Amino acid sequence: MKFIAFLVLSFVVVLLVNGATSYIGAMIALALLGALMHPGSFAAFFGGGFGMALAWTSLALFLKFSTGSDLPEKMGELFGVNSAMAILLITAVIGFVLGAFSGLSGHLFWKMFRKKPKNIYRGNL
Amino acid sequence: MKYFWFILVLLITLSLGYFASKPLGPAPPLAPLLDPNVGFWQNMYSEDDLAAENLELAGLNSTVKVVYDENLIPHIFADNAEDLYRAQGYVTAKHRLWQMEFQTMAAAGRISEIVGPVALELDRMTRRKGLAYGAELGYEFVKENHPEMMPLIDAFADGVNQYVESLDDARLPVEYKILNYRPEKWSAYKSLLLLKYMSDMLMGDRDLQYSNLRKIIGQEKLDVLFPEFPEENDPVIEADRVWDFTPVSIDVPDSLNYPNDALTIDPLPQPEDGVGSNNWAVSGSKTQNGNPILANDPHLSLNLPSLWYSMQLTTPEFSVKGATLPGALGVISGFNQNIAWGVTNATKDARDWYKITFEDDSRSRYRYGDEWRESSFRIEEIKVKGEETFMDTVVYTHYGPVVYDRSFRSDRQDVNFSLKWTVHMGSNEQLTFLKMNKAKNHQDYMDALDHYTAPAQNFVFASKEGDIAMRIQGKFPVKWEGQGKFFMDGADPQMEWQAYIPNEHNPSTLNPERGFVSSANQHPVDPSYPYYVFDNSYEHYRNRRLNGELRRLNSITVEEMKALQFDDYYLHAAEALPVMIELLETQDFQDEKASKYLQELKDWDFYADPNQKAPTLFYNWWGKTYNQLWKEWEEWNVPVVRPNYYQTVKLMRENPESEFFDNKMTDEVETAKIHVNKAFQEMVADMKEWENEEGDYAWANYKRTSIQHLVPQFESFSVKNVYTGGGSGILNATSSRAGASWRMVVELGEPIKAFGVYPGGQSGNPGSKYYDNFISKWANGEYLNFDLRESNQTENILFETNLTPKQ
Repeated sequence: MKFIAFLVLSFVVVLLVNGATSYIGAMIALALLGALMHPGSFAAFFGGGFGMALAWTSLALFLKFSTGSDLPEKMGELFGVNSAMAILLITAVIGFVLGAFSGLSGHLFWKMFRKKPKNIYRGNL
Repeated sequence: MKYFWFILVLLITLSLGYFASKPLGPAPPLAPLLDPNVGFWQNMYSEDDLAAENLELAGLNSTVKVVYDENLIPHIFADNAEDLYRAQGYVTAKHRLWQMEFQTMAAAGRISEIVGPVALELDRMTRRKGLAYGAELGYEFVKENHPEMMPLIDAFADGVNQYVESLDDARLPVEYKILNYRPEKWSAYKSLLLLKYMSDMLMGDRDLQYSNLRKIIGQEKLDVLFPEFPEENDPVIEADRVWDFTPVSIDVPDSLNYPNDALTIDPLPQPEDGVGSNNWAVSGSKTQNGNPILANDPHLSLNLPSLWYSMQLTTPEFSVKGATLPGALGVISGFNQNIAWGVTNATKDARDWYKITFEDDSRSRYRYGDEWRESSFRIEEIKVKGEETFMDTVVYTHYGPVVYDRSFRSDRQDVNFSLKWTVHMGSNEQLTFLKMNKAKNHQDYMDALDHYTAPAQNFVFASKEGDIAMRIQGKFPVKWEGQGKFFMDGADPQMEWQAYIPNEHNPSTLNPERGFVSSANQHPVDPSYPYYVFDNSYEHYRNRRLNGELRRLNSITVEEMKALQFDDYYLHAAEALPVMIELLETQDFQDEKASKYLQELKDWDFYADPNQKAPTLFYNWWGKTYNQLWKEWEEWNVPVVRPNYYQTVKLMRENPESEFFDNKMTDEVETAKIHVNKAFQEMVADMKEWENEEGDYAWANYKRTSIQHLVPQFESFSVKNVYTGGGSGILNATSSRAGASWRMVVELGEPIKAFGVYPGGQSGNPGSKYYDNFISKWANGEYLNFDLRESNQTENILFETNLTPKQ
C-alpha cells in the first residue's frame, strides 16, 4: 500500500516540480518525499523510480500524440536505436534511475535519524 | 551501518544527477536532453502550436503586425524601417536561430568550439582565407561610409537578441540541446559575416591546378585544351551588344615569369559541383499577357534547414517578398509592387595567389620589387571543445593573408602563398539589397547595384513599367590577358592588380532586341568586351538550352516559365552520346545486358526524368569515359584541372585520335575509341552489380538526391532519396547534393502574380511539420502562391502575432 501511495505521490511531485524547476529539483523533491513518508527501502526505490519514469513517459507520450511529430523517430535514429519506442524506453530508464535513487536517499536519510526504542524485550537472542 | 548505506546511496544519487547533466564523450548530457519538460520532446511542437497573439518587443516605435500564411511564411507590416528590421530579426531568430548562428560560426572559423578538434582543420582554413577579417573591414566600411544604415543593422541584431534572451530551455532549438551549447548574442558584424560566407560558398579558383598543368604540358597545349572562349559561346550579355566606352588601360608586363615550383599543395575546397544558377526575364513582347515575366533559381548545396527563408516585408514605403538569407536584412531574391529581381553566380576569377619571398624565417619582411616590405601578423585564437585553445599565426602581406605556409597544407614544401581576394576589401553588399527591396524602376536597380562587390552576381531585372535588364555586378580587377590564371610572383610589382573595372563598364543590357535576358553561369560576354574575362567554371550547357528555348518560345505564359525551370533536357548527353555510340566498336553484344543497356541509350530522348533509365547508363558511361580519357593526368599525382566536358566532347568528335588521348605511361597508343570501349565494358559490369544489389536503376533511384542537415552526422534530420529528375548541367540542375535552392517566377502585371518554392520548409526545427513540407512540391516542380498580401487580407492565415512596444 505504501509502495502504491509513494509511487502515485512521486508521479505527482515530479510532474509539478520538474515542470516548474528542473529534473534536479524533482530529484530533491523525491528525496524529501522519501524522508517524510519513509515508505521502506523497496517502496522508496521502486516507487520513486517508477513515479519519475511514469511522469516522464506520460508527458513524452502526451507530447508525441498531441503534436504528431516524428522527432522521436529521428532522435532514435540519431541515437542508433532506430525507433521512437526505444527512445521512450531510454527516457523511462533515465527517469527511473534518477527517481529511484532520489527516493531511496530520502528514505535512508530518515532511517539514519530514526530512534530505535530501547525498552522493548526481545527475548534471549 | 545505516550511515554507510545512506552515504553510499547519496553519493550514487549525486553522481547520477551530476553525470546525467554532463556530456559523456561525444554523447550529449542525457537528462536535460531526455527530460520531456525541457529536452528534445519539447521540440515536437510546431510553430502554430505555440502561436502567441501578442508579444512585447523593446525598442519598437509602434505595433508591428506579423501575419503567417498557411505555409508559415511571415508577412511583416511595420510603420517604419527600423521597426521592420527589428521584427525581421526577431521572427527569423524564432524560426532559424540555430542555423543562422551556426553559419556565422562556420564563416568565422569557430566550428571547433561546438564539435571539437574534428573541425580544427576546417576552422584554420576558414580563418586563413580571411573571411572574418573581410567582415571586420566590411563593418568598418559600413560605419564610415553608410552610417545611416547602422541603426537598421543594429535593430535587426536587437530583434535577434530579444528572442535569444526570451528563450527558455524548452524552446531552445534541438541542435543546441544535442551539441550542448547555447546561443550567444547576435551583432551587426555577424550579419555582414554571413554575406562573406556566401562569397566563400560561391567563389573558387584553380590557380594552383593551372600552374601545375602549365608546368607539365606547356602553354601551347594548355591554350588548345582550355580556350578562353568556347566555339558556341552563348554569353550572358547578348553577343551583338556594342561596348560604347573607353576601357581603363593598364600596363602589360614585358615578360612573364611565373613561379616554377612543383606544387603538391593540397588545394582549398572549391564550390561544390552543381553550384550555379539560372535567371532570366522575358519582355512583354514575348509573353501572352504582355507583361514581363522574371524567373530565378539559384543552385546551391541542398541543405536543411534550408538556406532560404521566405518573407514579406512591408512598410508604408514599400512591400517586398521573396527569399531572405537568415541573418541578413531584407530580401535577397524577390519582388515588390514595382520590380522583380533575381541572382545567379557571376563566376569570374576574383581570387589570385602570390608567391611570397620572406627575408628570413621570422617572416616579418617580404620582397616587393627592390625593397623589403613589412608583413603583419594576425593571431587566430581557435577555441576547441574539450581541448586547449589552438593559436594559429597568419601572416598578412599587402596582398592579403598567407594561406599556404610551412604550418598549413604545404606538405612540408617551403612555400608561402598570399591570397588576394575582393572579399578582403571593404564593401557594403547589404545596402544593395536594402535599396533593391524598395526600388521602383531600372534606375533604382542600377543605383542599388553600384554598392555591390562580392560575390559577383548576374542580377536580372524586370519592372511593371515593362523593362527587362541584366547586369553583371561585382568588383572586378582590370587584368592583362592571362593574369590570375596561374600563381604569380608576389615580389614582382608587375603582377599587381592595377585598377578596377568601373561599375559603368560592367557588362549590362537593357531591353535587348531579342526580347529576353538570361544567365546560367556561362561566359558573361563575347570576345568583343574590352576587358579580360576568365574563369575555369563557365557553364556550356544550361545557357545554350535556356537561350534556345527562350528564342523559340513566343506568347509565353507563367506555366511555361515554371516548366523551363523544371526542364530535364540533358544537352551534354545529347551531344556526347552520339559520339560515344559512334566510337563503340562492337554493337552486337553476346552479353544480353550490354545489348539491353545500349538499346536503352539509343532509344533515349535525352530527358533526365526521374523514371528514365538511360540517364543512369549515360551518366555512368560518360563518367568512366572521362576518367579514362584523362587518366594519365591523374597519375601525375599533383592537383591539375581537367578539360571541361564541352571541350572533351568536341575533341572526341573532331579528333578522336588526338595525342591528348594517348596515355604515355602505357606501351599502347590509346585513342578516344579505346577509352570509350573500355569505359562501356566497365559501365556494363558496374550496372549489373548495381542492379543485383539495388534493383531498379531509374535515374532518381541512382542519383539519390538528398537534402542534408547542416551537421552531416545528423542523418535523420536530412531527407534522403528525393524522387526527382534533372542533374548537373541541366536547367533543372538537381544533382545528388546540389540543385535549385529556390525557384521563383514573377509576372509583373496588374496585379503582380508570383510563385515560389524551395527544398525545405519555413521552420528550422526538425520536429516541426513545417521543417520539410515544401520538399515534395519542389521535387514535383510545383510552386506555392507568393502573391503580395495586404495587412487586412483574411484568407489562408495560419495565425497572427502583434509585436507591441515594451513599456
